Parts: sequence; structure tokens; C-alpha cells
Amino acid sequence: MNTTNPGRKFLESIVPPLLLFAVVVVVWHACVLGFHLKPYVLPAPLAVAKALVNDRAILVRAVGYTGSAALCGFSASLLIGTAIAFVFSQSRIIRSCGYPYFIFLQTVPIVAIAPLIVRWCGNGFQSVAFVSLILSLFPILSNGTQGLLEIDPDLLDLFRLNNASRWQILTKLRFPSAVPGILAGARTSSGLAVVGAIVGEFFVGYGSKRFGLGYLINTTNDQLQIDRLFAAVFTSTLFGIAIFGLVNLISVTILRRWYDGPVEHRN
Amino acid sequence: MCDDRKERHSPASETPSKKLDDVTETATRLIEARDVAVSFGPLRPVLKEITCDIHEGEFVSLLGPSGCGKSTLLRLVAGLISPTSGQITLAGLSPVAARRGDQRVAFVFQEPNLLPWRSVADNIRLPLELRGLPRREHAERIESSLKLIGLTADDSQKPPRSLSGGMRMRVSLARALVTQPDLLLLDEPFAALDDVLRQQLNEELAQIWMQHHWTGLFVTHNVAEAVFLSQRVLVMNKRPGTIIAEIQIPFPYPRKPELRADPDFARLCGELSQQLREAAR
Repeated sequence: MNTTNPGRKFLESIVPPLLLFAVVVVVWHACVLGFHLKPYVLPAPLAVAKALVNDRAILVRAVGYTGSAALCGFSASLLIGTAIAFVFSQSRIIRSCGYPYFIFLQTVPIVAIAPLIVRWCGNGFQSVAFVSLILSLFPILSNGTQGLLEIDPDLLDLFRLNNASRWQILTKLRFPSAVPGILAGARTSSGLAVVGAIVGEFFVGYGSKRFGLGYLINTTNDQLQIDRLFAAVFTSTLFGIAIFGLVNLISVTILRRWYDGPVEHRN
Repeated sequence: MCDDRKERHSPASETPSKKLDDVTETATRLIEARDVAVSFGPLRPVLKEITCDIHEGEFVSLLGPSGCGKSTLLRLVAGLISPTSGQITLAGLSPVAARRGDQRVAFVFQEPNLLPWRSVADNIRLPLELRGLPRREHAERIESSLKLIGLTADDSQKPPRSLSGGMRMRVSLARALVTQPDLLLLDEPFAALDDVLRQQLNEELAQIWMQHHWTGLFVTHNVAEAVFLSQRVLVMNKRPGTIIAEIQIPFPYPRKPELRADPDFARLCGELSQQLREAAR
């Protein structure tokens, strides 16, 4: 078996989930027919496919809006999360003061504070991006802090023996060592950023006729257009997977180029 | 040298190395340890009553059973930890002050500890960057350091992961040598390598020491390695570690691979192994 062939590897990773998908669609269709389910309870797979085709222009546009907000939120969380991780890595006191509040940020139900965010940031893109930022910040922050702190003691000794300054240790040792951790956090965060943007759109729109996937999910549900709802959810999922795949690809490339291979975390 | 309580053992007094001994007797003391003890908490004494001198340009091995505190002693000399009691000085100053002053101290760890995101050359460059040496001096230093350990310019652009274990250790050695150290501390650097490679690196290290004459303090639990490399071997017993014997190694430099077949070499190794067995008891 030639496992090194990338084409074959790709097939091996994509065929089994597609097979399962086909099985689910068949069972789903059988259930709709067998139990005579109403379309507002569970639409048939074919109806969803039709909705996907009919709504394609709306869906593509919605992905564009949601994607931009998610990208903004994700980029901001990458920058802000890494920056806070830097600050946390410098002092235990700062760390123990600040860390619980970021856990709070992770655990607070986002739907509960979303209206507040809208009140503070205004109705529009910025609020959606902000919700996305809040939801995606924690993995980068916690993985980054861990990566900056978990340094091989021998390497720290090596730097100390060469009379390295704090800044040199940070830039030449801690930050490069933390990159695999930050990237692992980024992979988790990328999916959360998309979820954050969709949740944000439940509460805010971008203006008339400009809406994202979240708004689409919300309104089609209200209007009992369950086939369109399914189409929107399906698109959201595909979009989330695509973003995760992209971030994963970037991180694997970086890790392979500069580190000991595509690792989750060194050590 | 070790104080009177320690056994003084010099099987070599009549051999040609007598001259070398005389040199070390008159040389300046670089490291002086007086009654040094280290403990990690009240119930974990690691070192006790360490008293010894190491002279400038000397090559000394610390030989002892695993876990006897050899590495701790090395870190003490490097100023990476402080003694719990007693005094240790490097060129008359505390090790940290000496290091911040004009003493260049380099350390070779048990693992190569190369930075995976830097090429071989950039790993070797690291100490020069940290010490703020002008960049124009880097290339020449790196080149001579690479040459010293037998790596080519081609190797220097590779990432460390593409090198074998032995090569990585060579790079680690080059990274230490590039600073042109006054004191080179080696913490079982060849322990993970196979025997042939270890012997080869021993020969090269002895050769480099002869050319450059830094002071070498080499930690090992391998008797043959200690005898082959050093002018003097300090034997430590098990934790809390203390120096129980000091043995002069009489063989002249350069030390050739044939030395290992010499009956005197075998006898000395046998004696030291005996000491080591007693130390571990």
C-alpha cells in the first residue's frame, strides 16, 4: 500500500465521510417517506437540494457577509489573543489576575451578552465581528500562553548563559516556541469565529437586503421554510469546514517548513 | 585539587604526563569550590562538602553514578543555580558576575537542544546574536566553528531535523565553541550516541581542546570516556554527591584511538570502575 501518494491519501480521507453522508441521506429520505413527515418538520433531501440551488445567489452573498465578519473576528482574536498571551507570559501576577476573566469570556453564554454588544457597538458589521472575536479569542489565548511558558528549561539556560535579555528570550525563544501552540489554537478558533459571526447575525443585520447566514437561518425558521433553513445550515457547515481546512493547511505548512513536522504541540 | 580528606590517587607519577601535572599545579585557579552544598528543599540534599579547584586550561571529568548531582555541580559552576551553603567562584567572582564580566562560559547539554526553526548555521549564530557581536564577524566565526566539528557549508543551511543524532550533537558543540569560550561545561553530551560515534567524538573533542585550550569540565558516567579525555578525574558518590577521589590521568596528548588498547588505560579504567561501584553502593 502506497500511503505516501498524496492523491491516494486525499481519497482515503474524503471517501469514507462521503459514503457515510450518502447513507445518512438515504436513511433520511426513507424516514421522510416512511413516517410521512411534513416538510415543516423535516424536508426531504431533494427539497433541501432544490432550496440550495434556488437560493444559491442569496447563500453566496450571505457567505460573503458572514465570512468577512468571521475573518475580521478571527484576525482580531489572533492578534489580540497573541498579544495578551505575551503579556501573560511576562508575569505570574498579571496572569493570575487576568486569566479567570478570560475563562469567564469563554463560559458566558454568548446569546445572553450579544444584545449588550449590539447596544455598545451599534447595529451592524462591527457587532457581528465583535461576537466572533469574543467566541474565538480563548483558544488562541490559552494555547499561546501555554506555548510561551512551556519552554525547555535547557534552552532557557542556554539563553541565560549567553546573557540574553528578557526581550531576546521573548523574541528568539518564547515566541517561536509558541507558534505551534498558537496555530493549534487558531485551528479551533477558526471554526468558532464562524459560529460567532452566525450567532452575532441572529441579533444584528448589516442593513436592508444585506444579510449573512445567521439572519437567513433565523428568518427561514420564523417563516417555517425548513428546506431553506436546512440549505442555510448546510452552507454554514460547509463554510466552517472550508475555513478550518484552510487554517489547518496554513498551519501544517508553517509547521512543516519551520518545525519538526506537523505537530499539535512540541513536547 | 581536592582537600586532604579526599583520596589522592595518582598512578601516573612516573609517566611522561608528569610535566602536564606540574603545569596545572602552577596554573591559575579558574574554579574554586569550598564546602559547597546544594539541596532542593530540606529533605532533598543533592550535593554536600564539595571542595575542589579547577585550573585554567585544564580538562577535568566529573565521574559518578547516575543521579549523584554531577549535572547540578556543572550548573553551579555556570551560575545557573546558587549553592545552599559554601562558596563557589569563577575567576575569583561569583559565577554569574564572572559570566556577565569577561568570562565566556559555554554549556553543551545532554540533548543537542537545537532550535528547530533555525538552520544549522543560524543555530550556531545564536550565541553571537545574543552577545551582540557585530554581524560582520559572524560568518567567519561560524565557518571556523563548522570546520572544527567537521560539518560542510552545505550542512550549514539544513534544518536540524534533517541531521543524524551525531551530527546534531556536533552542531551543539559548534554552537558552544563559536563563542570562543574560556570555560566549556559539558553535561554527558555523548551519552545518547552509539559507542563508535562516542569514541570518535571523544577523539575530536580532545583534539579541539588541545588546539584551543579552554578549560573543560566534562560530566559523564562512562569511565573510558572520562579517562580518554581528561587530565584529571573527580569521582563522586551517590546522592548527596560529594567528591570521594581525584585521579590524575597520566597519558600524554594528543590521545590517539590506540590508547584505548593500552594496558595502563585498561588498568586505570578498571580502578575507576571499582571506585564507581563503591560510590554507587
